[in-house]
Amino acid sequence: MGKCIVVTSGKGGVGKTTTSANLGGGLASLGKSVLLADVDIGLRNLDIILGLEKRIVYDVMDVMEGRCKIQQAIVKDKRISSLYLLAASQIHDKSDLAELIDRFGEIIKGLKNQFDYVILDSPAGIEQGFMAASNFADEAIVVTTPEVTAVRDADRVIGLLEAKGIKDHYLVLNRYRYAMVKSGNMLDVEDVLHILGIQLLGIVPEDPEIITFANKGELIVTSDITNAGKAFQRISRRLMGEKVDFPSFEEEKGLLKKIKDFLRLG
Amino acid sequence: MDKNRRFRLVGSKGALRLVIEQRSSLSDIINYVKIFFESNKRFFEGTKVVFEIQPLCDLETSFIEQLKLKLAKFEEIESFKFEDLDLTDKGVKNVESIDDKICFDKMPTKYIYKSLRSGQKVDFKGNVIILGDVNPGSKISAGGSVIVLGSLKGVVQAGILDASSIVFALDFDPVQLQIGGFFELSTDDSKDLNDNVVAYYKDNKINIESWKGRKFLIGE
Repeated sequence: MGKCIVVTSGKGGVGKTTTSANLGGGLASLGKSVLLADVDIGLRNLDIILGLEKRIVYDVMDVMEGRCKIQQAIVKDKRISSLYLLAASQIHDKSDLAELIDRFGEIIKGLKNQFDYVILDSPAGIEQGFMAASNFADEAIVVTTPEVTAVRDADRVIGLLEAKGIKDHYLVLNRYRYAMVKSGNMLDVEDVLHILGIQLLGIVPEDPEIITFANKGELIVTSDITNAGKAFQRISRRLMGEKVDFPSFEEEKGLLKKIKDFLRLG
Repeated sequence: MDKNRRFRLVGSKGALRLVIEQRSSLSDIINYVKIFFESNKRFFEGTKVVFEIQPLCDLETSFIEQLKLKLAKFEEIESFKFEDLDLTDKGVKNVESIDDKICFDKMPTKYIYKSLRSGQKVDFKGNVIILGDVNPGSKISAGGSVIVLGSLKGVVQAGILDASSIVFALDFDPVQLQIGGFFELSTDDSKDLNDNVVAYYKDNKINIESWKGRKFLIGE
């Protein structure tokens, strides 16, 4: 029996879909079978990030309303052989999902028997879409950025997850800028952890490469040279229970830091 | 709260006390009471309070009778007490100087063994002790005192039924603080005392100072 993990945040635009996709890619690269399910009915994005847009024939609403079998709606990733996608419907909205919530639960249960990990990409907000996504999850990953607004919303979401009985929740701190933290213009990890008080799964540094990869429909987790890619690889390993150290400032800043240090010495 | 208000509601020893300082119109008073109950709807759900009317000015008997009749319509009110103070100095003093000592044992206490997160709310008719943080966006409504063994960054409404209640926090930075119906909003240039701070209502205002030990509690 696999695990169902919901990726959520409360606030929009903090990187839920990117995290879901790359975490899925990371786990699949480590040999696990992973299904990524997009629960953002009406605003689907996950297929685009994965570059599978053109391969989608059926979506989750088609399965729920009985127009196709679940196996017909699952699309295999182009590059990673054990990664699969169940797309959201673009022509429906969240209330359609809420009406068929029991059926959605059955589908998730079925999928958990087939895959090691079922990752649900939750929509922003705390309404129907979030409720549906978090209803059937065993664990939750809360994504936030080091901004007070995002942290506040994450706090609200964690409260709601706890109320739903999801005790295992982890934090992914996205778009972290070491330089800004160092100059005191951004909340640092400690600040965020102090407010949220949950286990840190990983820190993803701000990396323009994420946009480049998303636009190409590729996963940054497959790249060993980008900072964000390496961060997602570490996060995936930690999620599988491996103990992976958190890299220090210097390591993360990489080449730029080395050049600066060199100049200063020179 | 409007300091020039001619009447106000103060919680005291488990009862609500309507203090009328100057003669005002009946509808104004009723409106004020109505808003008070409405804004604390969940708090008063299923419970009733003793309502005291305490005029500090000359009021005709007919006015008071009318007031009582109108107030009787509030289902939150269980019974009335009318304190007819002959305006001797003793009587007036009695209203203004609400007990120096906090009386923790007059009310039940609720313990909360977790942090309150944004959007979460606690309503309790007695004291509330939280072994955790009160995060921004959360709210506590308590009949008595509120003690936070962690950081207090949410909204606190304490002493609804007892204005002698206190609010204490290890890290004190509430968005809004209310004791016995009196407001205190946090300002940007908050005072430097952030650790181990106690807030209480005395001399017509909310006092916020660092905790100096048990002496305060027993009024030594």
